[in-house]
Amino acid sequence: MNSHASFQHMLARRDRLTADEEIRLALHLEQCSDCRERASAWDHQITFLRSFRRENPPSELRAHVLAAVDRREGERGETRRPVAANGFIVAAFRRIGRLNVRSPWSALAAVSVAVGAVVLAPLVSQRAATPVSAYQLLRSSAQTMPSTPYHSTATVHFQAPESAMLSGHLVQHALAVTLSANNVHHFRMDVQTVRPALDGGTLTIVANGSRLTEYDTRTNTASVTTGDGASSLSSLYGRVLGLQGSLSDGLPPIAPDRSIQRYLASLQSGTIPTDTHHYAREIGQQRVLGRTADVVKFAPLVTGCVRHGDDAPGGCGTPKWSGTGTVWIDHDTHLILKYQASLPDRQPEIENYVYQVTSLTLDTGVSPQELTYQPPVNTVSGSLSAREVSGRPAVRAGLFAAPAPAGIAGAPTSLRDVQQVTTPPSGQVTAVNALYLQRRLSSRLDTIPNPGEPAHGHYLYIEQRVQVHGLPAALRRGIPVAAGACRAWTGSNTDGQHWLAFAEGSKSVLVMSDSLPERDLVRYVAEGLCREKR
Amino acid sequence: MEDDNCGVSMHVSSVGQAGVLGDVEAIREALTELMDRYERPLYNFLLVLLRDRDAAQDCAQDTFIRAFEHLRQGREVNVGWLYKVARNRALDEFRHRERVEREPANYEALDENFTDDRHGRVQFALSQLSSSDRELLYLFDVDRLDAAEIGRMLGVRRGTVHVRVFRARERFRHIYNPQGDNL
Repeated sequence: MNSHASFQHMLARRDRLTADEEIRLALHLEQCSDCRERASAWDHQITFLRSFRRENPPSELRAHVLAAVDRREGERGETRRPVAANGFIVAAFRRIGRLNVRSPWSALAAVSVAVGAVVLAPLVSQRAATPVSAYQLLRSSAQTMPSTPYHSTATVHFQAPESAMLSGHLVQHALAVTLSANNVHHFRMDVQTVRPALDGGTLTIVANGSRLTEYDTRTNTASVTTGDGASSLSSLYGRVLGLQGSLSDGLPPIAPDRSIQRYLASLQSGTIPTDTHHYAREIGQQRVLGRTADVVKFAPLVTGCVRHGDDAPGGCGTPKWSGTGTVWIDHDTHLILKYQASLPDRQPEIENYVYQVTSLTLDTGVSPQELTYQPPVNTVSGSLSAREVSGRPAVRAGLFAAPAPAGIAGAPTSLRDVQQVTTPPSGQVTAVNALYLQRRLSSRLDTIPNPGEPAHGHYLYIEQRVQVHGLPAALRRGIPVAAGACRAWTGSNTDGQHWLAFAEGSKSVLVMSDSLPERDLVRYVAEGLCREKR
Repeated sequence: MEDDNCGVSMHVSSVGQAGVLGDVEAIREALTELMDRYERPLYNFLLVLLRDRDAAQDCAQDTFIRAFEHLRQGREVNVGWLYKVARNRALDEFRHRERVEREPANYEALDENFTDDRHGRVQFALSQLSSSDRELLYLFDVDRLDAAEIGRMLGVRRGTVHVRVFRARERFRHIYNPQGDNL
């Protein structure tokens, strides 16, 4: 290092020089204007940084440390036993994976993945230098389901394909969830789809004992289910609240009349067979929303069969496990505060799934008035759960028939697949997706694709939804254009996908392409979808 | 009460063996003494690193719990050891964030609350630095740790710490204008 550089480095530690160094530096500064300027700047810098005012740490910090110390001292000598993964998470993720057309149920499944993991709570052992067995924790645990009413808000984000037909193009999904619950049979949940924009709307579910009421703003339809139907639906929605368990490849369901403690105790004692490839482990405690959460990591989320060799009678030839999850469980109430998961190697894949509680209020549940919720429209009997029809049916009347983009830039295309969703009990078509692929880039246009098989080649993808309140606002933020008889909006996504959206009455349409620019989409709509309305 | 203008290293720098191995009460007392001295500076160091109060609290808790275990094994715990453990814990947090997390929920609140006064401007200025520069200048100028101690924490020589401080200060000049507090 040259002399000047050495003086510069002395400047950097100016308040820690030896006496000799101070003298040498002072002499240098008399001669070097560059170093004088640097010294002045750094003096200001140091003064500025030293005006940093330290915060007082939260009072719980010391309390938690001392409590952890006491726990470790009290629990030394015990051993940790391996625990099994939560079957509910597995089942719920599998449900997301099965859904090829977005519907209220896909949103609900997304929420249930996160919220339902409360069954895992007793499996979490407290952090200790020597671990505590989950079974012993279970015995000392007062309860496994929330005993206090609560109100919470949460957000759900994940990336998933636009549909199974476009599994190579991940779309950001976002939900906002509001939940007020007294117990598994008495709650109100509102699941608002924020993204994708075309699915914007809210599904409201109110469970009042043996009566379950649902209302979907998108289709403006409502239903009531009572009696046994209600109890089974309540059971399903109860899973959303995480108050009951579910099936997995290795874990049997929890019977409604069986307490969670007994179920988990049986699991630990080995009287219920488990898949040894499942695992769950506590990785620590963290603070979420100012509360202490036990953090558990578990895998796999789903199991499946490798296609080759899975013809073993009654079983899977070569099982494949996918996905990992991490859940933050409130230490006191066992409520889920946060949940992260990923299924990147599944078709369709789900990535970067995050469920995050954004507010939590205890001792305030759903009021008796809320439980007698009346939707704004007449109700029909039976659940709003949609029925999906895949394959290659012609697009049903009631929604637009989406023709091939003949004569538009690019190679000829042909219809690859159509998926429709009908809503009982009327059987009304409420959603249709149609996929056209450019002929020359795909060699399998004449065969119906396997479920979940990704589309190859440039595409034109048309989504139609019943949206009685008109085109969702997020789609009206595009560039306004006139597309034939329709007023439309266009835009482009960061991944190069172009889109056009319009609405006619209660029907909202979104047209997307990875190769056709907006002007061609306008032409396609003007000559096809909107021409029909003239 | 610790003076904000005094660096951590000006206090007694180590806590020796906490009495006879297995004397839990003595160990608890030693831990309490450690927390009396270093809880606040350590928490703030982590807060500057992580920019998330919940994460800073978690990491600080873990650090002191490890300190207890260290004392329980009859080993010495000094300020350098504490900072090193805390830093490693913060690095674990960073790695976890890189894998799965978005920006920490508390970060926006940190900036919003602290831009209206000088302290807020310091916070904001630090947040503009890279994590390594931020850590280094905070330890060197705010906590006033010795370069040798910082070097042990980072696994480098004392001279290397000085060089890094020099470079960090130069980069910080682009953020903070010494002609006036213009943040």
